[in-house]
Amino acid sequence: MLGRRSLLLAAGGSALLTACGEDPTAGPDRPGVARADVERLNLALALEHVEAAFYRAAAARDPRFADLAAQEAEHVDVLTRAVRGAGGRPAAPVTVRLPDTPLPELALRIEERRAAASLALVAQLENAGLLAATLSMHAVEARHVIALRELAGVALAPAEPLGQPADPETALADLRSWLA
Amino acid sequence: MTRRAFLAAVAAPLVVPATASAEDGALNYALLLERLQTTLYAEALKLEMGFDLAGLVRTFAEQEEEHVRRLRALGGREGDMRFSFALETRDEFLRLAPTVEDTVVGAYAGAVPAAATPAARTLLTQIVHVEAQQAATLRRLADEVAAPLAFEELLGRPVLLDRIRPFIAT
Repeated sequence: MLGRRSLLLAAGGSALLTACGEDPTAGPDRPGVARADVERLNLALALEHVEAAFYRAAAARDPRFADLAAQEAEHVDVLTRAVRGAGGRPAAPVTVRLPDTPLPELALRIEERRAAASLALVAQLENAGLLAATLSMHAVEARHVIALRELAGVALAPAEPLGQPADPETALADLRSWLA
Repeated sequence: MTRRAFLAAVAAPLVVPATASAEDGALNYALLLERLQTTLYAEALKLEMGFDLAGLVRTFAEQEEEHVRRLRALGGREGDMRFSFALETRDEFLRLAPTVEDTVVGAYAGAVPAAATPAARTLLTQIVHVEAQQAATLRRLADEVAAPLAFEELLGRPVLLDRIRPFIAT
């Protein structure tokens, strides 16, 4: 089995760290990361923190969420290092409270909103390397939606031909309010 | 995949448009990926799939057709490459389809940076979202994990061509 470091190198996490300056083999001509992109990455990190905290709590109650919790924790780790590598101050972790509602339905609602926000953020990134790398994370979020539809007992397949973006700031506020 | 191979794969899509304008290249590449999928679904719909699976495949085929329409509307042009999967059974489709869709997701994700305009970039990212969900759906139908890794593979054009070579008909 691949180790965690190997997985990061084999997929988008590596590209993200490379684009943000954590790759020791990168040459001096590596393009810099604009301040606006660092802010977008940090907003993505804030969303990941909420999601990761939610899945951590959900997995403690229901082990079916353990794999999702592990993947979101990896996203948090890589985004934190990427923001720091680009000279930004990473968003801080958060604590959440699980409401007394069925977890699969709540998780699906969270993941759908988070994926829509991620779609908006990714499309705005100016740095090509960041765009590809964050898209490799976004695609996984989109897959999570399908996994959660199955847990929630609703039709699996995407109903629309195109993903629909949502305002990231609004989505973050929604997620926080649902888990306050 | 080695680190060097990975970085080369990430960089590869950026040189795809070298034979045309940057935007044309990204959109044309996307149309190649769409043809791969529309061929797969068209072959599947000729088989005895069962009511539910046939409905799902028809929905995916319609989604791919919409992708094609949108890509053409932004100036994408299809090349001559054709594909054949020589599907004979429903089970063959269920085994093959997740791999094809996983490959398409990685190829799209690797190619999006080559999009030269915000409109093309936005469209391609919106398509990646749905391709990933199609892949996850097909993986579940094949009893595979919907999201096997925390990060999607990023495929360059050479890797893509190597993977789809068995299905190239012309």
